[in-house]
Amino acid sequence: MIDSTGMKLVFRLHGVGFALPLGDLIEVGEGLSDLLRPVVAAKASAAVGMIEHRGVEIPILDLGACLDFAAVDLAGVDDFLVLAGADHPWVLAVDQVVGVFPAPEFTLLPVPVWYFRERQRPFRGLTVWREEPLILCEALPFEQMLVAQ
Amino acid sequence: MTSKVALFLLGAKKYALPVEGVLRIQAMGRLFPLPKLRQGVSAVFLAHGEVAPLLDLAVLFGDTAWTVGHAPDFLVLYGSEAGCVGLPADKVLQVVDREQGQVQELAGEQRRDGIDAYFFYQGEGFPLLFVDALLAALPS
Repeated sequence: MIDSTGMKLVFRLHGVGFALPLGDLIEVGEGLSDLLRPVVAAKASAAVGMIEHRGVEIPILDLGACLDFAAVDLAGVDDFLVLAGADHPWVLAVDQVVGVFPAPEFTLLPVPVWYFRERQRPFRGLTVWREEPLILCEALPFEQMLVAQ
Repeated sequence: MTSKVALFLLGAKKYALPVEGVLRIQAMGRLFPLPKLRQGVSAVFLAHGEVAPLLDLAVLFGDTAWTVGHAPDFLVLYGSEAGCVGLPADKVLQVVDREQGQVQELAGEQRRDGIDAYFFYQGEGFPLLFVDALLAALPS
């Protein structure tokens, strides 16, 4: 039996690598542009789009909004992740899903705050995976940051 | 023991760096961009399993910035008070005894961007980099 404890999904967005705890992931999907629904602003103000997921409309949030990436062009996006949110799942468009890897491949690293423009890091931490530092992407804190913007 | 100064080239500019703080000079390895890095920090790299920042001297001194995809050939690892930091270099020109040149302190109004002094060697002036002062002067 596979032990999924501590496993992480590695993905890339705007040339930056991210590691997502598998427990935060609901689904990996493809063909995002085909699933787009019109945005209803009142439903989720931070949403840049909506998709129907298992019969329910859920928002697409743009991670770039809190990390200063260029705004996502949903028409050109294929891969996406459905992530666990506070009240409902949400969607994150990604450039590439690399794969899912076991906990021993990841090492948490301290990152001094002075490297960054703001007094707080825009993410909780970094983890090294195969000689590459990845941003630790926990769904709930990112959702809270995005919705708060 | 005579203290030494490394003279190196980055872009069109030459710099001098006291070697006391230099941990090593090596070929530039993989650089990793991170979002919201401070101005003057262009990327991070891994050094002995730790994440360290790469200082972008080009940005700090008003030159044309290089990009992570076209980075200089060499990385100078420097042990600062804030930990290991990296300085990019296109070429290490020379390592000379400090006594072979002359250090000229800058007057108050001439100081900028953490440059407090020039090292003059064979008629040429090199901004003398004191990395801890540079770090303290990083724009927020």
